[in-house]
Amino acid sequence: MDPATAAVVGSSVLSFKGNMQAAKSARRVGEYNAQLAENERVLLLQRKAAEEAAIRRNSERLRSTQVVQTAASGVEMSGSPMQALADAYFNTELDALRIQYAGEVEEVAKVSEAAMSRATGRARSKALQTQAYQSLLTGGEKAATLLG
Amino acid sequence: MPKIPLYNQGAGPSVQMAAGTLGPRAQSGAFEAPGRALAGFADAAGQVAFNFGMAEKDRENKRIAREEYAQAYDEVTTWIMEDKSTNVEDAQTGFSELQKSITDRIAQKGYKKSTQEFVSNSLSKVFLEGGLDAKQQAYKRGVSASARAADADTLAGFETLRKYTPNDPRFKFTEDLLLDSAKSNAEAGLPTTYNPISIQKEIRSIRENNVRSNYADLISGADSSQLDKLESGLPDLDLPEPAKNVLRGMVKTRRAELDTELVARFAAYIPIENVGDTDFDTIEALEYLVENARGGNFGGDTALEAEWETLSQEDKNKVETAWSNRLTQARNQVSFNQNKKDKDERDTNESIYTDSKEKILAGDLSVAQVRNLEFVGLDGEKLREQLVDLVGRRARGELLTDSKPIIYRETTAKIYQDEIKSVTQRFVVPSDPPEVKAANNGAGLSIIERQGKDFSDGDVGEMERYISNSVRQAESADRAQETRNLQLFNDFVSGYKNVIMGDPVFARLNINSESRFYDFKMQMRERFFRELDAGKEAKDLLNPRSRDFLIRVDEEWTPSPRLIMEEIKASLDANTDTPKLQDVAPPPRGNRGVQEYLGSDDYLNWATGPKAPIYRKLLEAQR
Repeated sequence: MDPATAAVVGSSVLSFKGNMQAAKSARRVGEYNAQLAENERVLLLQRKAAEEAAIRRNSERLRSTQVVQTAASGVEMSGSPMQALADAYFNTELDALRIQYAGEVEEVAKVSEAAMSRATGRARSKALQTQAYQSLLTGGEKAATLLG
Repeated sequence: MPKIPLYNQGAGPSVQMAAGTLGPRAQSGAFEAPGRALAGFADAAGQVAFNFGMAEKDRENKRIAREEYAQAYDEVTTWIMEDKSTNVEDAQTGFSELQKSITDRIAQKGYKKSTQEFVSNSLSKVFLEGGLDAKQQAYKRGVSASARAADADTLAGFETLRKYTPNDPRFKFTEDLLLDSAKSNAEAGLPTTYNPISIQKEIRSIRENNVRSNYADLISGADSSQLDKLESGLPDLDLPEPAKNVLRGMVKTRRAELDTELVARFAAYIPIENVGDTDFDTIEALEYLVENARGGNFGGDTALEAEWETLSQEDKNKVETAWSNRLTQARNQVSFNQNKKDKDERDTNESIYTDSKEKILAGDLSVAQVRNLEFVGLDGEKLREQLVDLVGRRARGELLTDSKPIIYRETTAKIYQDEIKSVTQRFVVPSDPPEVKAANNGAGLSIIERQGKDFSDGDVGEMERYISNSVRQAESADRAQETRNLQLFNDFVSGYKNVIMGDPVFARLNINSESRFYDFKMQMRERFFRELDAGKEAKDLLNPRSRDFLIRVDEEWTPSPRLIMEEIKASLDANTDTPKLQDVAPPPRGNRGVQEYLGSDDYLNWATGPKAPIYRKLLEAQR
């Protein structure tokens, strides 16, 4: 085999290996990003739980204040004070639900991000593998042409 | 009044309803990439397959084109070489037919259209070049053929011109025709051998040649009076001076021929063809005829007698010279016949002598038998008489084993100086005793008459051999070579005379000197002929610097002055001291067989060396 043909074959093999390596890296990057997203989902769930707890604690504190104030005023816990207390209670529950809902929404986003990252990584990996085979094919054609 | 705090100051829930993206948007590029890559791969694979296919097709097309090109090229070049067309149009037509046949042949092979076009394109070059070449060749052939035809016409014209004399009107007509033709050929640019100038030159040459040959014919057939007229007309001829000189030479030659014919007529009157053949055809008879003719008497030939009377003195002198030459030829012829007769006699006598000599020497022939031998001529009779005498002497026991050295030496000198040319020729030498010098009225004795008295049989045989070869050496190369060898040998031996005999002052006083020299010659002669028979050259045998030199390096032939003095003293002393037999005896035989011993180098060296003769003499003395 003459030097030119050997160089063509060598470059073709190197190109193939480079593309295969890139394909592997692309798949790993996708997996890495997916795991990051899943970790972020966990952190997000923890933060939403903390937000919900804070809302409930503040609401408890408010409702206690409402009871104390009502009692201090000598008014029976009925009518408006009762309304205010109930309002505080239900609104707290409503906010808690909203926080939970927002948490679920963001969790879905993170899960989707992780899935997307994995899918993108696989897709790029696949494209790079195909390119690797293509480079091998092109190199083979050139070598065959040179060999003649 | 206490103020009761409200949840979110009465504004309701404090947390907004969650909304927004549920995740990142998918990037189409990333997910299209595999498909695009696959599509790219497929494209690349398709391109590769396409390229391979195209390359295969291209290679196949080129192969077919090469094969068709080679075949077409071969056909075209062969056609061009074999084409005999002499004009462009024929060449063009023929080549077009060839091109069509090639194209049709290719079309019938069923190639694909693209292949056919490719082949056609590749063949266009060979067709274009071949067509041009064919037309050029045809043009050249046409021009060359025209030139050859023109040259042939010109040569034919020259031949026609040579038939006519320059005064003949057809000569002028043909000349004009040739010149017109040459002019038109030159204008047409034909590469003819002849041009107008060379044709004019050739015509001039032919004209002169015709004049010259006509005149030469007249001269060759003219008699004396016609020759005079022709010679006087020579200056007026339209010929260059050298040609006239040639004709003048021919006139002279013709005059000489006429003179020769005249002389020949008169010379033929003296017949020499049969002179010497009969007793009547003698030189004297011819001289008698010449003498009479000189006086005008031609033995009744009246024509010659009348012509003789008309001859000038100059012509008569020529005739006299011719007669003189005829007489000389006649004498040479007679001399030749006599020499031939002598040779025949010599051959006959020598043959008889050779055949009978051995018998005479052995005593097997009687005197009567010798007298009946068929010797011829005077020399034959001499031989017969001397052989009869030899038979008598041999019967009386006159026999010598060694010749008398001094007489032998002196006789040999006479032979080699060509003073003795026959074994029957009588002669005397300074050492002969008075009775020999007085024999035969002072003529002395011949070699045969001295055989047994002065010479041994062997020496006489050698003398005969030399004399015979010397006298007849012109008859064969072998005889001449042998004569030459013997002369060289004699020169060699003579050159060694003083060396062998010793100091000349003492040699005269030494009675052994001559016998020593004689012995030396005998021994050397034996060696000489033995080596010649072995194929060696005489000049090598006699050259002291040659390895084949006759005298061996360890042989002492030259006597020392002391030995010579002792021999002189011994000769004066009654008690001569002779060498002992064992000192000169042959080498011991040992265990060798007789033939082996006799052929051995040590025996041959002894047998041809200085000791052998002394040994034989001592042996004879003992008997």
